[in-house]
Amino acid sequence: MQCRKVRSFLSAYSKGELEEAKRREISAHLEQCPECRREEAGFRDVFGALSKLPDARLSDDFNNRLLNRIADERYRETRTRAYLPKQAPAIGMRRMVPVVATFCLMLAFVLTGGIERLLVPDDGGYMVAQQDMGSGNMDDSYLTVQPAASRTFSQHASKHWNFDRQVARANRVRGYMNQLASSNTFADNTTAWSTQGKLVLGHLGLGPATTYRPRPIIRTYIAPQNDAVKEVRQVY
Amino acid sequence: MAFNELVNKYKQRLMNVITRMIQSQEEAEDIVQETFVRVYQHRKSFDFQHCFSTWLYTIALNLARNELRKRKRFKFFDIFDLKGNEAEIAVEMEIPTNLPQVLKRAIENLPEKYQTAFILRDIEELPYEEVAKVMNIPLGTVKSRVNRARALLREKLKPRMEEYNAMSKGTLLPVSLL
Repeated sequence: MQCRKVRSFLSAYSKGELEEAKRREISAHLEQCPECRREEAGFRDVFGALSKLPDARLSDDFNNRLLNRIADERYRETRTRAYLPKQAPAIGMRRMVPVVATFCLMLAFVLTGGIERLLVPDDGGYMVAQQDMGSGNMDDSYLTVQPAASRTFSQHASKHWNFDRQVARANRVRGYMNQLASSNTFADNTTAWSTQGKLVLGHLGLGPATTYRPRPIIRTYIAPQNDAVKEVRQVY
Repeated sequence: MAFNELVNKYKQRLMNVITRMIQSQEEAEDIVQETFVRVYQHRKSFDFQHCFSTWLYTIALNLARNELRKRKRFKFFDIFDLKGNEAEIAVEMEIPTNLPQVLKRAIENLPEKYQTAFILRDIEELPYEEVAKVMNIPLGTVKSRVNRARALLREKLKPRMEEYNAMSKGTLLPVSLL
């Protein structure tokens, strides 16, 4: 047997792992070959040293610590869903009540046309002609928008209006105004005003030319129905 | 068998294996603990047709291997390396003097695949078949790896061994050497 082949078996030989026939073969070779014997001694030393290798040290509380961990594990195992108290859901039904209520209110508002009411201000000046609301046609009500019946506008918009009437009325009003202006109404109350402590130059005896007359403003209103005239005096 | 008995039966063996692979004692102990915890967690899935110790060793070795891999990923830089202060390093590093320590260091420095096979076979004295099962490799591969590991160790220990043998013969040493 060649040394190279023997050496591949040497470790197993010194460990005593070889079967009988192989072992005898190797030991026969070793008796003749000092080189291989030295190799074999090297393995023997290694195994000898291995047997002297001390056991690894285990800390004293190893078992305690381990059993604690196992207890933890056990606890975790038993803490299954069934054992746990029911947890409140993050979004509870009770919390949703105001949200749902608000939503319903908003929906009702939209469905009953609340938005249109907001967008078209009901200022009395204009009114959207309400026609065909239920039919679902497109809203072309802007075509038939008419001024609402208001006292001032309806004067002119009324179908009985004509130009001559309007001129006649204007003349009539002007006549009233002239009448008022030429009458002595303004001077009448000067003394009454002076007694109220107002500065009246007429009292200094300088004659009517220098008399200062505080100027009343007379507002004249004419009732459209019967053309009755109403005067409101104010002094500034 | 009660779990406690299992622990008592196997803890020392596992510790021996893991300590040889991972130098730090605390980490090795953590891994052994973790092994038993895993055993507890998966106790229901264990098939009793198989050998319990094989299963145990497989778990422990996987954990140890993960740990080693993690270490590789996070390489720690020693501050002394950066300083380059070699005198201090020499003081810090315990230079192994006695033979078991030298052997221990040599085993730690073996390549991983040889190391595992060697530890299981020659330190734990598991039969080759079981080592093959634990490592999940063919029987022939185990044998060759063990053989290779033994040869490597012998090479590493040879100079020390001669020194040690000379020392152990004690009386023959000249006084000047002591």
